[in-house]
Amino acid sequence: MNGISSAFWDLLRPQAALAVGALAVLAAGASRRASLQVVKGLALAAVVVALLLLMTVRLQVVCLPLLRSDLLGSGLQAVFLSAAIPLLCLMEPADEVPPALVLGSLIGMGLIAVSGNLLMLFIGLELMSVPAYLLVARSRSPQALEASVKYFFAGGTASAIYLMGMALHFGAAGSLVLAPAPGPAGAAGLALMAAAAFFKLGAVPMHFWLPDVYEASDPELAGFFSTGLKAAAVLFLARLAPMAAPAGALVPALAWFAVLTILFGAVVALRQQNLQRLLAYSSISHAGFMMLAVAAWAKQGLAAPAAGALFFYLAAYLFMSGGAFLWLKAAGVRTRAELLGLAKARPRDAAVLAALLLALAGIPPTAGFAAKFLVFWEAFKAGLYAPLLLAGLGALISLGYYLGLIRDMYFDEAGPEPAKAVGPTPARWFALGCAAASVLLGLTPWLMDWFRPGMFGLRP
Amino acid sequence: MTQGALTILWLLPALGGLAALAGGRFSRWIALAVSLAALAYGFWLLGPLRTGVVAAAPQAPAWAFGIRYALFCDGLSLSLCWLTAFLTAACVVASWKKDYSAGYWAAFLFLEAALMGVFLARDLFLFFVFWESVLIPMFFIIGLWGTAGRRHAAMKFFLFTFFGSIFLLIGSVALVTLQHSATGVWTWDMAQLKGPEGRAGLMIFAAMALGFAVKVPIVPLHTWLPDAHTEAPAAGSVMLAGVLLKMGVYGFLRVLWPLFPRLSWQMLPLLGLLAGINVIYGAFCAMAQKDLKRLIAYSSVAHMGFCLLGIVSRKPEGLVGGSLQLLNHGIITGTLFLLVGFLYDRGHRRGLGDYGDLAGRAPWLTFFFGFTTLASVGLPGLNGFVGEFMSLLGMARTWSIMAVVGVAGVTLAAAYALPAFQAVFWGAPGPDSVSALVYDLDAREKGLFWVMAALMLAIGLYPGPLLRLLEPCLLGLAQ
Repeated sequence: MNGISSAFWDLLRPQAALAVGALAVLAAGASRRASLQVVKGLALAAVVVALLLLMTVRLQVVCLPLLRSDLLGSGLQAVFLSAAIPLLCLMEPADEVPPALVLGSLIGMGLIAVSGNLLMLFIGLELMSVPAYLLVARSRSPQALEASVKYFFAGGTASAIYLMGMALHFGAAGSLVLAPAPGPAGAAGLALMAAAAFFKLGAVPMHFWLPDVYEASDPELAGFFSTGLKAAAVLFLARLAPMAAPAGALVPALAWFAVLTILFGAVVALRQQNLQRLLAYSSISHAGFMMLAVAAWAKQGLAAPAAGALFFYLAAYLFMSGGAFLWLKAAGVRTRAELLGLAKARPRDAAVLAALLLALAGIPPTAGFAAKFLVFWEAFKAGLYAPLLLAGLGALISLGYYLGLIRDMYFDEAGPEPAKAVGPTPARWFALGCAAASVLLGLTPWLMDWFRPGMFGLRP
Repeated sequence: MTQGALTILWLLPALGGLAALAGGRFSRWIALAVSLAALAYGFWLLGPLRTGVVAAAPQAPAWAFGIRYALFCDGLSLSLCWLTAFLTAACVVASWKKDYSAGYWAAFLFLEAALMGVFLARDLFLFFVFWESVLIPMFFIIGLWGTAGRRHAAMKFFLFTFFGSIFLLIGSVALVTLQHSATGVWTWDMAQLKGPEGRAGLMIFAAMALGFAVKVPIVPLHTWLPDAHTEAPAAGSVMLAGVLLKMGVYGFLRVLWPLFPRLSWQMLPLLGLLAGINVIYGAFCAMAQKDLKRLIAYSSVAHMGFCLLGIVSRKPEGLVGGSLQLLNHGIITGTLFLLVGFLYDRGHRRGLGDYGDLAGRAPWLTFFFGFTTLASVGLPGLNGFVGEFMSLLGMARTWSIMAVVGVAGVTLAAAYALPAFQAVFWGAPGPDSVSALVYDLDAREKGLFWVMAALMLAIGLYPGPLLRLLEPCLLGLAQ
């Protein structure tokens, strides 16, 4: 009993640190003497402490009635905690509430990472999402409120669908643990819960809220949604994977939805003029690759290397996509027209974005290539041949806009509305760091070694 | 020859590229020094190669899934590395007077590094990474320093070749995974990989062949080529036609033939037919061109058909001749693109009808253009003849009808190249001719072409050393 409760608190330590941090942030905000810089610093410190606590938790598989930990969960928790760091550094809140909201959202994500039970998963989901709706509403864009309401209704629908699925599952299985439920009711329950995960992930056909939300959010917030929130949503989907029988029909269905998501995101992104919207569709397309990795993982009976591929994809995506959004903030660019001829006027900014775009496109020798390669590899091993080919086609289509942006910057003369504004210096450093990481993670393939079977060798 | 000795060959240009990026106005000097150093180093490697240590066993530990950093070098690799280094140096010299930024010189060095990597890689994964890395500098070379249609041509080039690469990657993954399930060992080592039999083998072969065929290019996958070659700057066209096309044939020789010895031999009818089509189709397309650069681009399609005829024949003379023709075509077509580039620098036009009567105005340009054209159409005594003759000889022993088609192609080559030469240099100038703008080659340009012409003549008269260099690594592929 004692051992169990100590493991229980071990798993909750990062979340506890975040909660204490959130309270401290709110208290500091209320005291009126602490400046907003102090408030932001407190929030940042909470995230860093949570990261450190996460590292000190022994990396092992623990199964408790409500909680459990595994390496995929811990790894992805590190990803979304890291994703919050640039957001907390760069956000310009009017009061203490937004930093506290970020911490609240991170607590929810952390609960998803350690949940071993459908109810716990739901609590994590809600705790993650509700602050996100509010953060969108606090953005500076005139469409922020509209986007927030849209996000709220889409998210509320997802929660309702999830609860419906959970009820069906409970009826069929008689318990809420993450295990397959018998009969059609069990399958229907799982399908409904997966649909809720699709909402959170922005997978086609539940993606419609995502471009509006990303476009209306401040760039640093959209970057956090695209990397941190996405990692949590993927983890949410992956948590449901053990409930599907590897031989069942739901796993191939997931692969086909993944393909649909990849192709839809890539095709629609081709015509976007607003860069945040373009990156939003690009993130839909990337979500498809993550879903394909989940499908390959489930198809191989939750074999460990496939989870490694999933983790590497999200870790690389943290830098590529996060970097791209931060670049938008750093360069003060909003539309494609402003990119025209940017390489002549601001060669350094252009080079940073070009590196990020090549990584997003998956061109060797960048991290994006290593990530796509690992996913293709696992999909092949899982026997998902047709989805794999179509995913390759999606990668080809996506070149149309990634390279298209590079073409705009490098091969065109400056347009009628060149970008003049330059964003804050810290954002430039973050973007540069992300670009360097996106390239170096691919140039140092031995890093892939860390994600080898050994690391994820334990079955969740 | 150790891994380290081979690493220098690609790392030197890569580091040189970084230096050139930072070099400001010294970039072109850095590019010249590095490309010449790489060339000299490549020649020096001949010594270790001769002493017999051809391919050191890969010593690097495997990364995930048996991926290793493993390089390898034999006569074929080394000669293609020479070609790469030589043409890069030629490109630097040819663009010397241009007012280009540091990025231009760096891009050529990065391109050289990636190409060297392709020709040296022994690990299939490493091969693919270098293969794809070639696209990035070339994309910028076409798009930044090309002519009017460069934006479109750069995108088309990248998308087309990336399309092929996806199949190459999927084929490689399938190959390695199937081998793992059969033997329990993860390996990407080309020397240890064996293509599976049956339907799986056929699909893998088809996927990888598609990847290589786009690069060669095999008709009908060639449509990226005329645009890319025409819109690229002169030096970019040289690297495209001179080296990038060779990657495709090299892939067939180095990857597909050893992996699938039986299957690739059974594919002879299809591959031979495609090669024959390349020869004839490329020639007819070249005949119809009004643009000098486009004409040379299509002639490359035809010439790569000859290389394919040679290597598909799987006879020793065909394999060696096809490989030699890779080098010959690199030198000849590289020279032609440089000449057209110089012509374009002066007259700012590329049309056949835009010039005329240049022979008296620019005798040296006329001389070198004529000399190279003759080498291109296969005049005995110049290098083009040796490669084409040996390729056709090999094909004649395997499938004589295709050899006849090839001979017809040689005739057709004369039929498009000579009239074009005549129109530009002796034709009557039209009313809007820009011939008056054309002045003769200066000392730098003449020096460059003397080297090129000497190479054409030397290989044409005495190909023995090169043939002896290529032979040992190709005989094992003969059927």
